[in-house]
Amino acid sequence: MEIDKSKPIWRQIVQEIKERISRGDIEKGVPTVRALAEELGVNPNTVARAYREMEREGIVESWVGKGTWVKKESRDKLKEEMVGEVVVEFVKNLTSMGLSKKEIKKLVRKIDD
Amino acid sequence: MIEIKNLVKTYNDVYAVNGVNLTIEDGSFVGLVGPNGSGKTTLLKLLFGFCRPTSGEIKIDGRAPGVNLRSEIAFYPEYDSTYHWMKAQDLIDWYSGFFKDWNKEKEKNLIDFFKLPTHRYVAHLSKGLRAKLKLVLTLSRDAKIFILDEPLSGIDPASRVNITSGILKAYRAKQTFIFSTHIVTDAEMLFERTIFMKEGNIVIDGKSDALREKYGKSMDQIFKEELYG
Repeated sequence: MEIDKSKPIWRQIVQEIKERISRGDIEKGVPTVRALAEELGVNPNTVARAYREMEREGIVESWVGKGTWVKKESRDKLKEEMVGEVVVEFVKNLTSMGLSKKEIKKLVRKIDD
Repeated sequence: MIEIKNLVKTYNDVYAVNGVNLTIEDGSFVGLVGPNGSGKTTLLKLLFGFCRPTSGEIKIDGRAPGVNLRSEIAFYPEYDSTYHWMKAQDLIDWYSGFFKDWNKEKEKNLIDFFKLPTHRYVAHLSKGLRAKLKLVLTLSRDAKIFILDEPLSGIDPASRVNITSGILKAYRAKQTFIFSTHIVTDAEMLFERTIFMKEGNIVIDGKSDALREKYGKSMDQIFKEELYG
């Protein structure tokens, strides 16, 4: 993971963990705060803040002494969310190039063949 | 908790620290950033009790700095505080005898992490290895407050990440770290809060991620562009 030091680091960690979950790199147990802090070279409190945010969003849950765990439904939810973002971006780009939605649909169907 | 009020320190009419107000909560990891001569080292020396304020007040958990508090504070000085005629391990063993809070396991882990050849004479260690030896002497304690004065100065760029990783490894929640530096980029991700000093005063102070959001810049860019731009 490449960290951009000009943007809040905790947000980038949230994004990174979400990607790892949706790719299936993290299935159940999220790395401990300390392990991830050392892996990324960031302050553990920054990692803890990212985990708190993901807990607030309902992606993970944590218990004292048992670490932080991915909720069952999170992977599908995140995948859907991320694919959705890419599709929206894709359609937006093509629309700005002058394509109508109909033409875009045709284009996608062509890929299928 | 560290509380500093209207702190002033002058040397022959020159203001080294000029009216600093500052509160540092327990367990925070603070970067103290500024160019040489901005007052960082003087502020840290005042905190440790190496010198006394000209005016103003410092309270650490309600007490003034001094000999009585040194058992709770680990200080990493910028100057070479090692003895060159000793073997590194002998120096560590001798030094550790002064501290009740010495943690042998931390000592071992840090020596391993830094790959410090402790069987060698200090005189035969490179400058970078001597800095790492100094870090072992400072970080192997279970002190409440760690004051690190310019641990990156004189370290070649390739070794800086190794030094900051070692510091990160030694850091425990609830311990307060104050890390001064004029080399920001290799250390800024360790700083939960960054305090920028200029001419004896604090000019910018905040949570590092909040400052990143506010300025759209890294701590290094703020240092270079906002303080001198």
